[in-house]
Amino acid sequence: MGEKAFFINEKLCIACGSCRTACKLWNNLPKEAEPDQPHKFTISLWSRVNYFEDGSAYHEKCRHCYDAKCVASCPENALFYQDGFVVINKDKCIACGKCETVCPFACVMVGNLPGESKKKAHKCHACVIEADSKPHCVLNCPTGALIFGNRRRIISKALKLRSEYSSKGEEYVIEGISGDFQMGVITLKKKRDEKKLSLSSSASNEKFIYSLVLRSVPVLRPVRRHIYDFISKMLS
Amino acid sequence: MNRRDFLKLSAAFGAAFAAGGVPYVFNRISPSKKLRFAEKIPSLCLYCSAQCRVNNYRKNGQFISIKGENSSALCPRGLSIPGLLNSAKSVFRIKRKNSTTWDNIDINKAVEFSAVKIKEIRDRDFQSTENGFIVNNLKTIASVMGSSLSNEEAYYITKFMRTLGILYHGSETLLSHDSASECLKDAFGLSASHTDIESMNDSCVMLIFGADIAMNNPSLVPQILKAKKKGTFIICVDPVSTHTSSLADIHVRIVPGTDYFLLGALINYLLKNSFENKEFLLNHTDASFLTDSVMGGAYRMDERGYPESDDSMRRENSVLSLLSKELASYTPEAAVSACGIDAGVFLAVSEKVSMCNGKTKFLSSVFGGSFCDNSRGFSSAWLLSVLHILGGNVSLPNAGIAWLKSGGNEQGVFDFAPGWAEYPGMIPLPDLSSRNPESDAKTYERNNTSQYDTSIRADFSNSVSALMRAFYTSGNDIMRDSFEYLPKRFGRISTDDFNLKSGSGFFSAYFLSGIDVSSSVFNDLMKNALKSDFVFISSDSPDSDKIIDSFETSGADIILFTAKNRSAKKGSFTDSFRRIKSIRGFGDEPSESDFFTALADRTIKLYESKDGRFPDPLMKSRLRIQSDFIESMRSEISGISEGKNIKSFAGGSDKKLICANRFYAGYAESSDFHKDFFWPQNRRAVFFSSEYIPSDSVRYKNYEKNNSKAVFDLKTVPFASIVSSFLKFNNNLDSFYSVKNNSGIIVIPAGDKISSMPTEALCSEMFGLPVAEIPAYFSDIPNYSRIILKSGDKQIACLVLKKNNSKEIKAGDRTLYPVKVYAYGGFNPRPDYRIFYAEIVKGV
Repeated sequence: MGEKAFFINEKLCIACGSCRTACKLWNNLPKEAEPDQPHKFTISLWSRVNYFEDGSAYHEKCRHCYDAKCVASCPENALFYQDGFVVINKDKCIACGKCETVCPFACVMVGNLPGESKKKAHKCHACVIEADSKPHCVLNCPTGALIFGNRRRIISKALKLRSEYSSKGEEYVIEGISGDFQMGVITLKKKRDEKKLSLSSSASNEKFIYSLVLRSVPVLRPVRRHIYDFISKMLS
Repeated sequence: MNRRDFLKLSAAFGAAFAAGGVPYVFNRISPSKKLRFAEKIPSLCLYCSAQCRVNNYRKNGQFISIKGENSSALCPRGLSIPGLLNSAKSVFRIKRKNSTTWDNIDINKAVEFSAVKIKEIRDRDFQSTENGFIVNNLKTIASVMGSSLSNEEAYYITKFMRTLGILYHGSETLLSHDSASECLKDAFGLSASHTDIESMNDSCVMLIFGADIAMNNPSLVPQILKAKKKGTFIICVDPVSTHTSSLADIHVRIVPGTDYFLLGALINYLLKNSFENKEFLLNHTDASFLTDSVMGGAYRMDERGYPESDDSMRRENSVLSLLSKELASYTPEAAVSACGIDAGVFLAVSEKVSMCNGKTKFLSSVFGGSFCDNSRGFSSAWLLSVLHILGGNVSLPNAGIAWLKSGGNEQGVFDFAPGWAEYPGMIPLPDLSSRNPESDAKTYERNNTSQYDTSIRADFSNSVSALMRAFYTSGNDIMRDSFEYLPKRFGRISTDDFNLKSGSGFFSAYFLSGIDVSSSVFNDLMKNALKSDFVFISSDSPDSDKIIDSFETSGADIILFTAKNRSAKKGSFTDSFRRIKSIRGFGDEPSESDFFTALADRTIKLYESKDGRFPDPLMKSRLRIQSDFIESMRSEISGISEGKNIKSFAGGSDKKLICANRFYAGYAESSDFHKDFFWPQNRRAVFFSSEYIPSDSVRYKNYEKNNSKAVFDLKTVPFASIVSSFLKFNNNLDSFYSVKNNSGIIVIPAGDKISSMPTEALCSEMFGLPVAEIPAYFSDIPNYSRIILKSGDKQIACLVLKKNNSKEIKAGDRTLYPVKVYAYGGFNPRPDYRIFYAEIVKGV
């Protein structure tokens, strides 16, 4: 897996929305049909700002999970890892919609953008290739609430900040570094009553077997789809 | 984000998408691949006062991306600029009289049409002499420059307008940011009252009043965070909890509209505990001057004509003691109860603010539009400037006031200060109404040269010479040769004057260049302008024609130029350290400068064909346009800034850091602040009832010597903008509060001239009463009387005032009372610092 990661710090976010606009500018995405309701991802909205009633907010995008269900579930291997981030190969995508249903964060959307003939899956692709460059959303965050860098350093920073905030009596949680959810996007956010996301036991088994069988044996990758179906059947 | 911004943004995206061809690449886009072969164009963001420096990227004629300079972050509005640039076009359109359609025309036709109009009006109305003086002025054309012009454009348009002889030539700021500019200019000087937030990193305390920076200027947040990191104590004064307040160290949640009370209490605290910067006050302000207690408005002069001063500054009639007397009622206890804050919070704030002595620790303030755009706004802005002056926290790199409403400075993006009666560089137009009419160069020089000031005015003749050399000729004795070409005025030219004339249909033509017609500030101006004979409008908004159509437009010939916005222009601007920064333009679309240069060329040719009257300033002017006029003008401006033409303009020891017109700011980076820079006259801490203008000091003496002349002169009162005024007698600043206790005075306008003013809103705000009940309310109160103000036979306004004052004077058979008038212009209130004498009409 890659060593880079995003870091989102809710404490510093001022909800200006630069990340959202920057993403659209860089990727030539069209405007939203319903601009007043930016509270969910759409095919043309890959990064957004999560607003809360108390005025706080934080940036949200595809988490780039290390063992992403969308990657595992893709029958055509259109979703794959590049530099540690989950990206889509548009030529392979058949718009089956499996990734959309399995994503626990509803970050992947299937549909067709204006100017496209066929439906495709769309999501954040962490627009960075060169070593010294940064994604456009990160470049345009004025406060440093959204940064990009070495994953290990970011984790240590997140832990440090959480203890710093807790010493002031503010409870924060870190998303993306626990055992089940190793992610390319690490979020330090306020503790709220949210539905706890966890993989079911069968799913974790599935994941374990999947990783054991497929990751370790690259030769099997072309027939991954069949093996995946086989394992699922076995488990069910 | 308001509706307009949103429309722009959505238009931007739509256009970007439509223009992009292949809109979307599925794999990740490499930055170097996307921006390869793209032209990088440095520019300025056009949206807010943060004035971010940006780099536009253009490829195949389309703007594909934008980045902040040095990879700094941009806000969503700034990021939408490529789309705006792709959709905007520079087009000239014309709408004839009584027509309903717009026709596209090319620049030559627009120029021809305008030039003919100018000549027609100028031949009719140009005055070469008036009252026996050479005046060379043209009063019936008005010009307003908006903040989207560049330095060179503003300079060139000013040059053209002034050589035509136009008197009413001013900037957008004078109309739209009246209260703040009026309040701060006396204290700080017009072109120097704004300090960039970027320069405030090192200040000790930063006061933020009513400006939600995180919401409106997100790209300034890094500066605040940087300051916070360096140890700046950030105090946010805001009734509501915002993202900005969450960044602050203390959030002072006051009752809305009580900013001035908090500021008054802070000043009171400073004065009572002697925390003021005495050295600064003695050397750079009039705090130690003694005033004439009877007249209340003039300094006490010694035999030589110098004001008497007292170094302790605590004598009874000194300006500082008057100030502390004025603010005596603003005790911390009163402030705590009025503002609804904890005593502990007030103490913390006052302790921090009193630490800032202007030598080692600095105070900086930021305020937004909501701070001064209410009925108490001028008090707030004035008190804020007093607070800064008391500590000497003025115009230093780390100390100053930033107002986040217009462009980077209060004029917008250009650095010139086109006041109604000023040349570039704040050189006043010659005035023929004073006792020594400035009808020749020597009097002009003498009247404007200060005897005891080490400022620009000490070298006034040099600065005027440089100006006239730039404007007219390059002879040996410039003062003598060119003086009579300068347009001259009679008396003061003010915004009120302009508004009054504009409302009464005085002007035949308007040149509104670089303004934003959709701004509500220009509603009245647009209404009036479109009733005139001819209007030239250049505007940023792509949908300007629709906005203009929403007014009644049958009367005027309108030429509309929808210019590409500021980001697409050539020009030079200044960065936060006041160095000239050149911005490269795109160069393929006409801009305002092209229009005005062509117009000047054409106008001169029209006059050449006729044996023009002499001396016609236009024929002598140096308006001949070379192809590279921008470059020559840039060198002219930077030449001035480097002290080439006018040596005394350079304030610092190394003469490098001074630029454009900011030389008046005396802006120096060196640590030895008070030694290195000069204080122009207009930067004195003018206590509002102690205005002192050396050339005008005669005015005050008149009160003593000839009472009949000092009678309330209706010509000098800005009635056009009076909605409500209050008069003060017992040295009581908080009239708005005391009115409720039957001890204040209010002016209620009457008569049809000013019936359109929002009296109702103001009265209901002040009294909580519907407007119909106001007269009854006053007639029931004993001890009140009214002053009827008449212009000729017409009743213009009536003042309701308290009778029991003791300072009346006898003028013949009439009894006159001192009346301090604060003029209000709607919700852009502005103070008038004068004391008038008025007659009370009894029995009303």
